[in-house]
Amino acid sequence: MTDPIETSARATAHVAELELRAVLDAAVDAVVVIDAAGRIETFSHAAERLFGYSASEVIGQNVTVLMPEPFRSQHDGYLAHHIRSGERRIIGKGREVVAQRRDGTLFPVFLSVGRIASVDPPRFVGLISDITDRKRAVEALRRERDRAQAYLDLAQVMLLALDENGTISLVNRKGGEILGWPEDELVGRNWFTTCLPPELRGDVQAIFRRFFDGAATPDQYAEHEVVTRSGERKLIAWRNVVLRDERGLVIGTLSSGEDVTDQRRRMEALRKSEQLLRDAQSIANLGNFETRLPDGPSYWSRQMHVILGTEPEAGPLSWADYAARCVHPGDRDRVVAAWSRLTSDEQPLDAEYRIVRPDGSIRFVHSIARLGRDAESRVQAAGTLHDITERKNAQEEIRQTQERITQFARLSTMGEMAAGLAHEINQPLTAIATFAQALRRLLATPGAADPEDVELALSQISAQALRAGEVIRRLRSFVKHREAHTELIEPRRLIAELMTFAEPDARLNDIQVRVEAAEDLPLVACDPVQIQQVLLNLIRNAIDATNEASPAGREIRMRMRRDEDGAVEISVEDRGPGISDEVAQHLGNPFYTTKPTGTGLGIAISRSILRAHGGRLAHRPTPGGGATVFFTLPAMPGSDK
Amino acid sequence: MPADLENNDDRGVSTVFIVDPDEAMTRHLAELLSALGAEVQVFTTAAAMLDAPGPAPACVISELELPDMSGIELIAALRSRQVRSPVILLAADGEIATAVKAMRAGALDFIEKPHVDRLLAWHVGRLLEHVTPGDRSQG
Amino acid sequence: MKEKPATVFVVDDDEAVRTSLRLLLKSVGLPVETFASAQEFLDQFDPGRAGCLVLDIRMPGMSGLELQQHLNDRHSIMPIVFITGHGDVPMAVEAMQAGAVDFIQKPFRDQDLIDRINRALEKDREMRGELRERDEIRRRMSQLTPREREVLELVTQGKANKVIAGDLNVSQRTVEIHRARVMEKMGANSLAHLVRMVIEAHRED
Repeated sequence: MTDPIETSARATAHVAELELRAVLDAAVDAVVVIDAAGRIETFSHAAERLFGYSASEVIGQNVTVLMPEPFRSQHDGYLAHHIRSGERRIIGKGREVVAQRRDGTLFPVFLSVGRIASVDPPRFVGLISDITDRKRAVEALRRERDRAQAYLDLAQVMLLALDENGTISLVNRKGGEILGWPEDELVGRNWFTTCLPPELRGDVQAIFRRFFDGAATPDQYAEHEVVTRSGERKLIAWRNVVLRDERGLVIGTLSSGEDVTDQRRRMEALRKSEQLLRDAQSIANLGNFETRLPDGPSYWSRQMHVILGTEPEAGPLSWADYAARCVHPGDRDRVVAAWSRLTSDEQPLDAEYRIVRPDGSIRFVHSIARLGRDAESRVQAAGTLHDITERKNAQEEIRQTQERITQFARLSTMGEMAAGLAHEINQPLTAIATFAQALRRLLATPGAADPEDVELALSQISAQALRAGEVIRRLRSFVKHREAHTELIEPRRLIAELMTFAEPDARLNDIQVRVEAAEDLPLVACDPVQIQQVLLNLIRNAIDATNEASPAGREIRMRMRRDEDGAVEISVEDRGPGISDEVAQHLGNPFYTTKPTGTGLGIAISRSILRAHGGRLAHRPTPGGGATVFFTLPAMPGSDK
Repeated sequence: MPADLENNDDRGVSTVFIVDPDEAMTRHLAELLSALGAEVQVFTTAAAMLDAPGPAPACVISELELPDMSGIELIAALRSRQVRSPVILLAADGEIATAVKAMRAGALDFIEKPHVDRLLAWHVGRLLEHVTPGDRSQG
Repeated sequence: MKEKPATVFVVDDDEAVRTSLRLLLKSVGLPVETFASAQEFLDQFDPGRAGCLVLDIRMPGMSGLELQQHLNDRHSIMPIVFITGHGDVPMAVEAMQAGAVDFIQKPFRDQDLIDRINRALEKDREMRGELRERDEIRRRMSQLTPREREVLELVTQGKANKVIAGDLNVSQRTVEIHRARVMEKMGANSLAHLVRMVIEAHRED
């Protein structure tokens, strides 16, 4: 079988073989040559090291010994298929496959296969490199990345990486949640057009571009709104960093964004409610305080300082300091006592007292406090301090004004009545003086005086003196500035006394006042002077109305009766022109008057007097013309006769 | 003061004499009466007025209490000089008795000062309207 | 006609005042009649009766000032003394301007009132005297013939007899005779007296 040419050829081939062998053995990667049937022809040193086989052991064996199932079973088919069809699956490419060592262990390899084209049947060269380490590194990297992603996903903030075009290169799950997108759909989209409200787009994008020019570095913290997929807007608080490559060029941005919409809303709500409270306290001039007992740290609202004139910066005073420095000395004992009842007996504190401001001014306050527990269950006193100075002043002002008006109205009614009253007092005085003087003259001539005349003069002097005294007594009690006081009185007596004033005035106006009283009138509880004041006003008005009308009905009727509810109704009827709708509308408005000399206070005062008595002033037409003005007074229960 | 009532050509019958030491009051009255068309001459004492040359005025307005005599005495002084010019007396706070005395003495009116403007305007307007050169001597 | 004595008429709505005034005036011997209202007085008013009126101002129905007005309308000469308990200056002035002789406030000193009443009665007397005199002059004038009246007119105008004769186209002598008869009929003792009587006769009541 030895042929010299063949031998020579063989020798040549052998040389080539050796050369190839050297190359193969020098190669880092394992080199395995197989024939068309898949039998191993060449197995390099590297292959030996890699697979744990010696070349002699595997040469001639099917290459499939080097691979695990299922590759092992499939390999012959691949090979035959390739040879038959020429179709390449691996050849010219590389792929990662799993290899099997002699000891049966598997390991990842990168396999590149080349076909030795010049021989037939073909042979194949496989270059196999162990990628176990690489694979492991990649795997580690992958796991690392997965873990990072998991972390990112676990993070309760949105993480967002943008490349220089503004394309989203990374967004975590939270980001997806916030933005309402599946995160993988977001990646690759333009951040600005996808997620920013149109009005912000230009500005934010401009700022973003400047990062890349190096003209600006992003603010570490920024807040702006984003638009979710559904169009909802959310306020995001961003923290930004730029990403740079190894040369230091900006290649993207990485941002963490926190959805602060709710938080902001809550803060805004809180701020608003705090502001509201502050405003409310300021408007009401009411402060609130809490003091941990006994005399521990306190909280004072701002208004406390405003009320007390203290410096908010100095903080709240302790109770002891407050009592010593703020509470008016005249009220201090009382306030301290109330406080100690609160703290030791748990009696709620409810006190009005004066405080003195540092500038010496005095304010009236109303303080309410109760015991309670703070958030940590410690006993504390919590309460309010209300500056009621204005109210107090206003009340006092109102009271004084009311009093002045009442007094004024009373006096002006008196002024109108004065002519009649002066007459009423002057008449008996004149009679007395004249009787006395006549008497003196009669007695000057002894024996000349007619005893009857003397008797007449003397009895008239005493009678007239009593008459004048009575008028003056009633006048004084009427005009005198006095506190209201309520007494039980028979309505008839009320009227009888009143007629002292009303009658002369009426008589001088040629008017008759008729009094009609029902039999069964109960006692009424009232301030007689005030009610007489009301009646005088009504009679005065009735006199004026009568004077306005024709002289036919120069009569005023005062009626007293029980109404359906058992109250006592007192009415004053005149036959005047009546009360027009227009006048009725304004009736009782202070200073509204139809009289040239009226004050317009009579009815207004009467109304307020009656209101205070639980009564009501009203009017109706008098049958046959004129006005009837009436009011009711509650009857004293059980005073029926 | 002219006793001769027939000789009063150089002063119009629309002349009103005001006699009152209160300067504010006289200024006020002078303005009021000038507005009514009166020629006003102001005196602070009765004597000054009584000594004034010229014919009788259409009207004399005098304070009740003058430094040198009372308004009522002034009326008597004028009448004793045959001057029949009407005299209106003004009183800060008049008493009925004084008013009656003044009226009995021949005052045309007796006005309490708070009401001066209205009443004076009425009087003077009336006097100036009705006083014609023909009956000037009666003023 | 036989004249009743001068009477003080008291009008006041207050009975005590009326009674006391009656007693006071009685004590000084003055005849008094009292009335409870202005209307009551007006109803019986006789302008011929001598006396004066003591009148309250403020009364039911007709007031004192209204009564004064009514009396003025009737050309009453009765002097009025107003008495009032509450008068004021304007009211007093108004009453005086309307011709009241006095205005006093209640209560008054008796002597003051009595003085004023006496003054009023004196004035009434004077006025009645003047009235009577005027009536007498008028009566005498009515007895003159038409020619004598003409002469009287011209004489009191200050014309001389010669001028009158010319005006009447009669002789100067005839004028003298008429003139003497006028003087006699009129009861004049001088030309000045005659002139005064003519002026008096022409005065309004």
